[in-house]
Amino acid sequence: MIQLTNVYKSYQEQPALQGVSLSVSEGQCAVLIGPSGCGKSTLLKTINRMVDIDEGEVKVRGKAVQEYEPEELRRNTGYCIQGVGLFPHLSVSENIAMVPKLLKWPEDKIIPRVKLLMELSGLPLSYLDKKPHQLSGGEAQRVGVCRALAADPPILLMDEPFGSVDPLNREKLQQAFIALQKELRKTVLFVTHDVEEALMVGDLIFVMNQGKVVAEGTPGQLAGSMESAFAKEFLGKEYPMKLLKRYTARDLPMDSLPKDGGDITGSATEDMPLSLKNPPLTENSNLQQVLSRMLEENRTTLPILREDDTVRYITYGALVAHLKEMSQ
Amino acid sequence: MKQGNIKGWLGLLFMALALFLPIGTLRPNRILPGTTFHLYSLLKEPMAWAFVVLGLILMAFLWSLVIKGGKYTPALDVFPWILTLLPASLLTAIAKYETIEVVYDPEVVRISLSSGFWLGLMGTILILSTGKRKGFLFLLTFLFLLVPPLLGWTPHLALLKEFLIIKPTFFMELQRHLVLALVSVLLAILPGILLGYGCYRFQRGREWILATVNFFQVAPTLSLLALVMIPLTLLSQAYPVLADWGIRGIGFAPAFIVLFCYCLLPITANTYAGFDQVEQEVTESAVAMGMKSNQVFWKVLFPLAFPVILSGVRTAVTQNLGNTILAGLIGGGGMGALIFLGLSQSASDLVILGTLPVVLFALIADEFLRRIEITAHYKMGGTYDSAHQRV
Amino acid sequence: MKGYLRSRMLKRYGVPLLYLILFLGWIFSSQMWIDMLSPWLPPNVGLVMRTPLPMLAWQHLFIVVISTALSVLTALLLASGVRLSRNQEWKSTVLTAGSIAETIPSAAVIALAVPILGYGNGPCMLALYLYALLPVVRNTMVGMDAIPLEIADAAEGLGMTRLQQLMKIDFPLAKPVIFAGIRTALIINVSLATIGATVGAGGFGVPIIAGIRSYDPILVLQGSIPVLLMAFFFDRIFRSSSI
Repeated sequence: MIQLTNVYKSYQEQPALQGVSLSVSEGQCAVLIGPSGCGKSTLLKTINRMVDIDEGEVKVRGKAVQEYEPEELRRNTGYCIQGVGLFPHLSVSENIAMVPKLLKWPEDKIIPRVKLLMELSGLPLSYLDKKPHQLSGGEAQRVGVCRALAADPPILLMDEPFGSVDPLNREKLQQAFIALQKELRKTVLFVTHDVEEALMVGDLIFVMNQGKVVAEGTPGQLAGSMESAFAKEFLGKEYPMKLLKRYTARDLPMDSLPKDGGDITGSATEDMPLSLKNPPLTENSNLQQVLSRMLEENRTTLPILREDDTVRYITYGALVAHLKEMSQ
Repeated sequence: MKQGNIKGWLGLLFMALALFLPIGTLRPNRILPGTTFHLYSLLKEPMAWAFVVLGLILMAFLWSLVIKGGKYTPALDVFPWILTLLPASLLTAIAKYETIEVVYDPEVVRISLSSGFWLGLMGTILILSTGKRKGFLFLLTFLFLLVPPLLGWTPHLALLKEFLIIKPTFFMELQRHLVLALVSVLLAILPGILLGYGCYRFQRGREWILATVNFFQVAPTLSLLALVMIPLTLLSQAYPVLADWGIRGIGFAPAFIVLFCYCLLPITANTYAGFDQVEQEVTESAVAMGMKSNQVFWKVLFPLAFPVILSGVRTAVTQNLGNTILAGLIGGGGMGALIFLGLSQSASDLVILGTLPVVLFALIADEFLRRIEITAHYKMGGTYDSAHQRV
Repeated sequence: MKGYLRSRMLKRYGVPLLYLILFLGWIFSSQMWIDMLSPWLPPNVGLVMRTPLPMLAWQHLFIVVISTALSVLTALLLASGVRLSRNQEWKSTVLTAGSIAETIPSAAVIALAVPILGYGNGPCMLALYLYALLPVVRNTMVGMDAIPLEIADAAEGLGMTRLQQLMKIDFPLAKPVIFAGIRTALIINVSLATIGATVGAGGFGVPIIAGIRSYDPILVLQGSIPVLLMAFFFDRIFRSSSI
C-alpha cells in the first residue's frame, strides 16, 4: 500500500531523511519510532506531500505520490497531528464533516457517517454541536481522529497524536484507537517517541535514527537479538517486559484442568482454587498482569475466568513459548 | 454602584466642581466675550429648581450610600434614570438665564455653555457608567439634551443660534464629512486586507509593506494633504475633464486620497495580525485535508482573522472621522469647515457645533463596530476570557 | 566592529542622521535654491516668507518638544500613580477616559483652547500637551501590566517596596513599550503643531497654510518637506528595531 524506496530529504543544509526504505501493507498499522529529530515526522509528511522529497520514490497504491494531484492525495489520506488543529470556528460535527463536504458528499450520507465515527471513538452524540474550546484535550483528539477518518480514506497518518494528553487519558485513547483499528482495518502510519505506545498500537515497528531506519519488525521480533545497538538502547532493556502488555491471556492456549501445578521454583501443590483475595484474571488481562499475578501468588499456573463464566488455566510455560513465537 | 466606585466618586467630584465653576456665559452678541455666571445666579429661575431638586436627590442618594454602606435599595435602580434628566434640565435653566439690569437685543443675545456645564455633563456620564445598561442611559441623556432646544425652551442658547444660522450648510457639511470619512475607509478595506495577506504570506515583502503603510501614519497629515494637492492641481490643469468630475487640487480629492492612505495601516496591520494569530496546527490540518489555497483562505484563515480585521476597520473609522476635519482647511468641506470658520470668526460656539457631531459619530461608530466585533469573536470560537483581553 | 553589528548601527543611526542632514540642508538652503530657480518658475509663486525657515524650525521644535516633554512627565507620573496603587479600577477608568478623549478631534481641541489662552503658541501647546498624554499613559500602563506576575511576585518577596519595584523593575522592563508611546506622542504632536498655524502659532504650519491659501506650491513645499523630515527623524530615533 505504502512504499518508500531510498528516500532522501534535506532542509537547507540539514539532512532529514538519508536513504529510507520501508513498506507497509494494506490494513497494517506501522509505527515509526525514534528520538526527536530522527526524521519520523518528515517521513510521514512525504506520504501526503506536505513535504516533497529530494531523491527516491514514495509510492501509494503503486503510484508515485508526485503523480497524484496534491489535493486529491490529501483528501484520500487522513492526517492527525499532536495539536489536533480543530477549526475553532466550527462545531464538532462541522469539523468532522469537512472533508466529505469538500468531496461534495450528499447530506444524507454525511450525517450518519459523522454519528457513526463519533460512536466508534467513544464520543457522546451530545457533543455534535459543541465548539472545540469546550472540549478537553483527549476529547479534541478523538474528534481529530474522526475528522481524519470521515471520508473513509484508505490511509491514516498520525503524528504523535496522543502526545499532548495526560498519561491516564493517553491510555484510554490508545485503547480507543486499537478498537477503532480493529473495526476499520485502515493502513496506518503512526509516529511516536513512546516505546510502550508503539508496541501497543503497532503491527509493524520501524526504529529510526538520524534519518535512517535502523531496525524493523513486529513488536515481538524486536524483542529478539538486533543488529542495531542504537535500537536496542532506544527500545530499552525492559523491552520484553513492556512487550508483555501487548498480548492478552486470550493469545495463550488454555486448558480446562491445571497442568503442572506448582510454584515457580518447581515444587508441586494439589488444588488451585480461584483466589478470593484478588479479582480473577480474565481473557482481556494483558500478559504483564498475568506474569505479575504469577509472581505474586508464587505459582506457574493461573486460573482465568472467561466471558461465559467458565474457568480455564494458563501456564508460565505457555507464556514464554508465546513470546518466543512472536519473536520469530 | 458598588463596583466602579472610582468612576462614581470622580463623577461626583466633577458635579461638585460644576457648582463652583462658571456655568454659562451671557453675551450681548456673537463677538463680545460677555460675562460668565455661576449656578447660584440661576436660582432666580423656576426652571433651575428642577435640577436643584435633582441635585438634592443626588445628595440624598449619596448619603444613603454612606450610611447604608452601599447596600442595595430600590432607589439604586431608579436613580440613574432620573439622573439622565439632569443635564437637559441644567441646559434649560442656563438658557433661560436673563439679567434684568441690562437690556439686550433678543435677536443677537446668546448664552454659551461654560466649563461648569460640561463638567456637570461629564460627571453625569461618569456616574451613569457605573451602573447597568449604560449604553442605553447615555443615549437617553443625549436625547433628553436635544429636547429643550427642539421644543423651543432654549431660544437664546448660543449653540442653537449658531445652528439655526447655518442650518442648511450644517447638514450638507455633515453629509460631506460622513461620506468622505466612511467611503475612504470602505475603499481601503479591500486593499488593506490584500496587503495584510501579502504580509502574512510573503515574509520578505512584509517589512516593506508595513514600512510603506506606516509612512502615511508618521507623516504629518497637513503636509501630506499639501503635497498631494500639488500634483492634483497640475493634473487637473492639464486634463480639465478631471476638474469636471470634481477632482481638483483643492476640495475633496486630496483629502480623500490622504484619508484613504491613512486607513491602510490599521487595516493592513490588523489583517496581518489576524492571520498570524491563527494557530499553525489549524492551517496545517486544513492543507493536509486537501484544501486548495483559496479554500484554506475562505474557510479557515479569513473567518478566524475576521474579528481582528474588524478591529482594524474600527480604528480606521474613528481615526478618519477625526482626520476629515482637516479637509475643511483645503476646501473639502465637512465639519472642519465649521470649526475653522468658527475659529476665524472667534465664535467658539460654532467650533463646538462642529466638534460635537464628529465626537458623537466617532463614539457611536466605535461602539457599534465593537459589538459586531465581539459577536464575531464568539462565533469564531473565542471564549469569554479571550474576549476581554481585547480592548 | 563586526559586519552585522556595523550594518545594524548604520541602520539605527545612519538613517536618522540622513534625515537630519537633509532637514538642515533644506531649512538653510531652500530659499537660495528657489531664488536661483526663480526665472523658470511661474509668477506669483515662491513668495518670500516673513519668517525664515530656520526660525520656523526652531519655533516648531520649541512647541513640540516643550509640550511633549511636559506631557510625558505628567503621563509617567499618572501611570506610576496608577501602578503604585495596584488598582485595576483606576487603570480601566484612565484607559476609558483616554479612549473617549481620543475621539475629540485634535484640531477642535486647538480651536477650543483659543478662548482660554488667546491666539498664538498657547492654545497649540495646550492641545499638544493634552494629546500626548494619551499614548504615553496608555503605553506605560499596558507595558507595566505586561510584566509577568512572577517577576512582580519575586520582587515583592525580596522585600522591595512598590516604589522600589517601580523604579528598578517596572520602568526598565516596560521601557520599550514606553518609548513606543513617546514616539507615537511625538509624531502626533509634530503633525498637530502644523495645524497650530491656524491659531497663530509658529512653526512649519505657517508656510504650508499660507501656501494653500494663496495657491503657492513652492511655499507649501518649503514647509512640508522639513516637517516630514522632522517627523521621520523622531520616528527613527525612537524605534528599537530597524523597521
